[in-house]
Amino acid sequence: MHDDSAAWYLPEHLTHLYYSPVYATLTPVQRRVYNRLHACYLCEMCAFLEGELPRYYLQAASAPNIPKHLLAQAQALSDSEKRHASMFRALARRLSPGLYCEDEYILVRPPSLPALMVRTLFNLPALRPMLLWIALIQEERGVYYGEEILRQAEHLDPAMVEVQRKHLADEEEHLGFGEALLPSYWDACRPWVRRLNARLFRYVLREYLGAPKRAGVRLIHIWVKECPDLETRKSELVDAMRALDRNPGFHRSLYSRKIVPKTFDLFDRYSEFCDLGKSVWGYSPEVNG
Amino acid sequence: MNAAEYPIPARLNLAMSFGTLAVLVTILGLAGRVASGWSLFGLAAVYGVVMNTGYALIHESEHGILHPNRKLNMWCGIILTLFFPAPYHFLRQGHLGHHMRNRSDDEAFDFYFEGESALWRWLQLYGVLVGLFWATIALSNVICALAPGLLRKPVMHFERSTTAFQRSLNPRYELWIRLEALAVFALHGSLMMLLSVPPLRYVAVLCGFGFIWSAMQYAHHWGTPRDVLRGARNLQTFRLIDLLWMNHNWHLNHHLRPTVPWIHLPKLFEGPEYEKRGSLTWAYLRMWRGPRFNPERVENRFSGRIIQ
Repeated sequence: MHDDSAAWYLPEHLTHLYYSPVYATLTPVQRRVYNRLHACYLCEMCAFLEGELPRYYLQAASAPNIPKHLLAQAQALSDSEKRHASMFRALARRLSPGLYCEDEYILVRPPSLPALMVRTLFNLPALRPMLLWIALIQEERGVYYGEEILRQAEHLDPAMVEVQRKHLADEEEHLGFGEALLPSYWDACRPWVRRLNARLFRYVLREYLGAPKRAGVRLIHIWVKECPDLETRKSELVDAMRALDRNPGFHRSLYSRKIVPKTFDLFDRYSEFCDLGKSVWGYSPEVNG
Repeated sequence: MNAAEYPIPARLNLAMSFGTLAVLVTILGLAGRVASGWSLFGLAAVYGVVMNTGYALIHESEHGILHPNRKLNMWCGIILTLFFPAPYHFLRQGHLGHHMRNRSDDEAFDFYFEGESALWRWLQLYGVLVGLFWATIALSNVICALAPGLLRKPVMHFERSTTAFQRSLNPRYELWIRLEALAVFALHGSLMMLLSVPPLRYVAVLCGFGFIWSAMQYAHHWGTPRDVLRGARNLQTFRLIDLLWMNHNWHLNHHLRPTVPWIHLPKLFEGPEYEKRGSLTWAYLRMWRGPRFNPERVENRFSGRIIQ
């Protein structure tokens, strides 16, 4: 018995392995431990994105063609995102204090050299639109997650529910800001910049914000340490996690018209995203069914 | 990512580590040369203060924030912990486990609960207050050197704090623990011989640290909320001592964000609820009131979780 609390932290359908056949073979305790670790992953991801992305909003809102009132909004958004990042880090520590004694990012760990290169590249104004798209789609997805968590609040850990409630209170406004900023910014970009950014967006979403790869495997390693009875099934679990990349149901659970309708509506307006469905399956009409 | 926001003062930490080690060895050397008992007492007191700087550095190392280089971080921790004296990997597991058990029934020394022996809890607390907690760890070097596997053997079923600690120990560190415990004996045996210090005097000086360290161990948690993260208190002593002890007294701030290096702790959380720093001495004296019966139970949600 490694987690004797009866708490659930996320609705099961918001966790990755829920979409794998292997999930049905897990015991209730194993599922609960996985659920908590996945919640930690979600917290890390939110803390990372909310900590990193607002600076690009600020840079973008300072551009000459952007209405001045958006700059003030971007500043307010940046401040509140910093609070959110800190809130999510604190929540992760509360869910697994032992996990975060030596680092604040255990599951979401971009390798240091590529991360430095990416950060340098992202300071190029030409790549800023892609970051704004990332920010928008993640904000909207965050709202969906928050709403789902609040919908099942009575079955979930109160600390998680409280953080999501606070997050949601600001997030609707942030989403509106992103929706207002992006079209003006995107429309002012040259065609080649738009094409480049659309391609990069597809790549980043697929590689880092789609089916679990590195973080998913790290999560399994930690999970197995907490549930040693899973040791013999470790490679099976890793394979199951990796197989999600080929699972339409799983892809639909990440991005779909139900989860990110506003962002998808914006994609529909721009030809650069016409083939987005090849890598973001939830965008393709077939997967949306 | 945390490093960019709150950089580790790596050079300062290394300088403090070397400085602390030099002062500690000097004090131990002087223990063989002083004539009076009072002088020895003075040396023990100074050793106590300086080794608490050593402990603050060990504590940074346990959280991986003494130095950004992981190996250097660990080796600094190992060498400093020899002066505790204890195996670093043993102390580290105890401390990281404390961050999981804090203020749960498994680690609330200001209370005793239904079905527990009040007498035992009083003895346990008073043991902590007079330095016996440190003495227990120092004596456990014998077990660590001979049979570290015994550390996990549950022999005190009635004592939930020890049992919870034992359940969190990771067997993969047993070789490290054994080697570090052997190094403790080798180091202190050599120092006693090389510096020509009689063993009793040598131990008396070490006890100076043992008393201060053990006495402070629960002062930051006594009477705080039964919450794993918020169950701590920011305290203060003299400004110079607070600095020498590397802001260890900003304990609530540390528990709220354990991976932030010591130099940033005072400014980490601001606002009225964080600014009320009590006196460490008063917090210590208050603990002599002893544990009280508490019907409220707070489960250790991480019971049995092995330290990695």
